[in-house]
Formats: sequence, structure tokens, C-alpha cells
Amino acid sequence: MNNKLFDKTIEHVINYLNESIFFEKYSKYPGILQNMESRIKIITLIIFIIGSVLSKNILTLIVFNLIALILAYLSKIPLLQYLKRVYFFIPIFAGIIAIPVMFNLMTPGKDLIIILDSPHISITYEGVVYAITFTLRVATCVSFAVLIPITTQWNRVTSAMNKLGVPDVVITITNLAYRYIFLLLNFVLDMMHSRKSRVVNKLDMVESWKEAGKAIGALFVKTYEMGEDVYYAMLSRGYNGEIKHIYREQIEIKDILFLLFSIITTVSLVLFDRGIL
Amino acid sequence: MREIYKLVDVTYKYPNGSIALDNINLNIYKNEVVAILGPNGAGKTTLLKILSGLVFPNKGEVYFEGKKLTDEVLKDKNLMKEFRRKVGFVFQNPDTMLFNPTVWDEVAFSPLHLYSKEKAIEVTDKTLKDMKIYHLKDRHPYNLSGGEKKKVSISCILSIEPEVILMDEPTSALDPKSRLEVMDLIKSFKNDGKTVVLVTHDLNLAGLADRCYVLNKKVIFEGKVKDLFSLNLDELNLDVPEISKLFIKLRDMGYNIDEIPITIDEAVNIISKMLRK
Repeated sequence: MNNKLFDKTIEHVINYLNESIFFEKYSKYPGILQNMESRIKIITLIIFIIGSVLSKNILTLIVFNLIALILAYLSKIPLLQYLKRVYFFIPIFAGIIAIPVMFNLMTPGKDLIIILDSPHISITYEGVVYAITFTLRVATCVSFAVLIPITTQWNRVTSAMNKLGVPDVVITITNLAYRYIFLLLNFVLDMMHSRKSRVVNKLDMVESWKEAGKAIGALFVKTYEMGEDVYYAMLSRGYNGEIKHIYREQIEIKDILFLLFSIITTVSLVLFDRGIL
Repeated sequence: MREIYKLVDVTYKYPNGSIALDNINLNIYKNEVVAILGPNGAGKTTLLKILSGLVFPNKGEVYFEGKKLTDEVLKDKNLMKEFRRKVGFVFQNPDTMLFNPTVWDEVAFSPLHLYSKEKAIEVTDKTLKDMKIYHLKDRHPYNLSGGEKKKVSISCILSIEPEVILMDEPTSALDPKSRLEVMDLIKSFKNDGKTVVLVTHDLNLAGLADRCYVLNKKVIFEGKVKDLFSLNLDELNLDVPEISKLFIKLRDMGYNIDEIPITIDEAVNIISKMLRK
């Protein structure tokens, strides 16, 4: 087994866990989004996302991006962390996806760089503009979407979604998945450490895959057993197939004002984008 | 004394056909603390699942407050609610019990299924305050320590004020302080008139019981915990306190020891009496 790969995997699992817990920390900060009623917050951010999706102009998308940044700043989220999460990895992946669009084969137009004369292959101006717009749009949507889990506790997100009409069963499955993903990741981590402590020689690739298969099997059995016990625990506490939630948040005037602000801003920007304003 | 549980010739087989419980007969009376002892794989947890109406015996009968407990009976919503309100089950692994996104949601789970919303909110807040864990109410169960998880899982069942509390290894994997807290809680349950059934290996904990049953698929002993010392404790694979082991050794060496202590206080009393003589 490649120890570097193994160590990296462990490191990534730990980072994932820490990041998840770390982000719940910001949901308790006294910022602008943290003080919003959860339903209004989700609706508002979705309005901004829809606005970004409908925008075709790079300038409009930059303005939407700035709004997301200002909201993050006013919500007391460290901007460096936020920028790293939103503007580093995701636009890179979106950019990779957008690469083929830059070529004349996908987007015909004015040549910027000619790669081959016969057959004619080139990067076009229209293609580059499309790729930039696409990448910027993805980054803008992600920057708004990320603000929801960062500034809201998970139970509030799911309760608000339930109040907005998402079925009970979906909410329960989501909550259970969120709860047990940490536990099972810890189990995976323990298994990896235990295996590492018992491996003397480096395993070759086939052997390491065999070992990974055994670990996946053990994890499956563990998950199955735990699922059964959790169901028994739910039954013993009165669960009868019906899910019951309590929603304790109330909409205030500041929430309505924030919602109005988002609607007016988004509509204005989209109209500007379409050349109507 | 009012009879709470009566088991008549109860036999339970696992789905693979192996026997978990074989012809079990036992009675549990109101306001009793009963300890169920036995080695691993003796069927103790299965017995608790039968007492809590989660699984049903292949043969024999289970009576709760004089009424026969069957799958059909618990399919009736009202009877099921009444039973779940009266019987609380604390699982060995708190992680199986803590499946909600926050501690408050966790403790509110049973009240929400068994009471009105208003009453559910009231009893949840009261339980959290009584158990001195109100400060944890917004925490994700993943972030709790082992002792806190156990306290929360006990709070989950106390929120419905059950008359009968079933506890599976309540002190396992706890540090000494948390262990003492759980033991104090069990004493308070007895003082509050509740009936407690404990499954444990720990004779220190079993010392709190009025009576005990030793199980190894069959009932092999029934009586007071102190009378256990007439049995071969090595065969039973029980966690015997060091102080008890000392007195057993002295007795085996021919010293005149009438009573085997379980706690240091009991040992001090016995030694004081011997010294006075």
C-alpha cells in the first residue's frame, strides 16, 4: 500500500470532519444572516441564486458576487476562509468543464488563438466569454448557497425546508444522514488507523484493494446493525412512522425588509442584465 | 407489591436459529431495582428488548401490568402510546439513541410523539434543566463527551417520566465521575418510585439492586446480589469489585467472613465490627 496515499486519505477524512464542525461555529456568530429567520434566509439566498442563473452579463454576475461577499462580511465569516472555499476550488472545476466550450468546434466565432490550421481548431472570443460567464455564474451560485449552511444550524435548515414544504420523510433521512455520517467517518478512520498499526510491509496495489474491500464490507455490516438499533431506539421512544418537528422561529419585520431588498435588487439586476433598465 | 412484568417460559431464537433465551421465568415488581447479570452473549440485551416490546418471544408469554404484551397489542396506536409512556429504554450505545441534529430535538423526540406540542416543549426544557444539561441544548450530539451522551440519552427517556426504566449497561465506557453520576441517578429513580431494570457486568452497579437475576440463556440464579458470592463468579465472567475479591480470598483462606462487601463503606463497617470483637 502506498503510505503517502494512505496518510493523505486519513488527513482528508479528518479535515472533512473538522471543517463540518468548524462551520457550525459561524452559525452562532451575531451576524446579519445568523439573525434572519431561517425560511426567509433560505428564500432570499435562493432568489439571489436564481438571479445569478438568469444573468448573462459578466458585470451583473460580478455585482451578485459582491453582494455575496458583503453578506459574508456582515455575517462575520472570515473572508479568507470564505473566499478559499468558494472562489478557489469550485471555479477551477467549473473552468475545467468549460474548457471545451472555448473551442470553435463547440462555439463558433472570432478566432483568438489558432491551434491548428487543417483541420481548423481555434479558441474563439465568444467561447472564452461563454466560459468566463459560466465559471463566474457557478462561483456566484455557490457563494450564495454556501452561506446557508455556514450561517444556519443544520436542524434549522431542515426545519425551515420542512416548513417550506419538503416532505417529512426527506427531512428525517437528511437529518439521520447528517448525524451518522460523522460517526461512520470516525469508524472508517479508526479502521484505517488500526490497519496502519498492523501493516509492517508495504502492500502492493492488488492487496491494498483487497484490504479496502474488506473494510467496505465491515463498514456495511456496521451500518446495517446500527440502522437496526437506531430504528429500535426510535420505536422505544414512541415513533410510529409519523415524523414530528417543532418550528420555533418567527418572521419579524427585519426579515420581511431583507426579503424585499433581495427581490428588488435581484429584479433590478436581471432587468439591467437584459438591457431593460 | 404490584407486579409490573411477568415472563412465563419465554424462549427467543435469533433469525439464524441459535437460542438467545431459553425458558425464562421472571417477575419484576413496582419500585424495585432489578439487576440482570451474565456473561457476554447471555441474552441480557435481548431480554431488555423483549421487556420493551421491541422484539417478541418465539415461545412463552410476557405480561406487563397483568396484560399480555404482543405485537398485535402494540399495533394499536393508543395502547402503544400508553406503553411507551410508561416504559423507557436506555440503550447501551448512546449513539444509537441520539439520532437528532441537536440535544434539544433529541430530548423532545418522545414528548413530541406522545404529548401535545406545548406540553412537549415544556417537559423538554424542564428535563434539560433538571438533568443540568440545558447548556448543551443546541449542541450536535456528535460533539458531546461520552458522559454527556449518556446523560442526554437518559434525559431522552426521563422527558416522558416513565414508570419503568430499562437500562442496558448504563455505566459502560464511562469515566469514574460520570459513572458515579449515573449511579446517583439510579438511586434517585428508586426514591421517585420508579421501577428500574439494569443489565450490567458491574457488581458495583448491581449493588444498587434489590434483587438480581443471573442469566446465561437460562436463569441460573435469582436472589439478592450479596447471595451471588456463593456462586463461582469466575464462570459467570462478572466484574467483581476488588474489595469483594479481597474478602472472598480471606474467606477461602479460612477466616470467619459472614458477609462479602461490595463497596468500600460496607467493607469498612465489616472490618470495624471485626476489630471491635
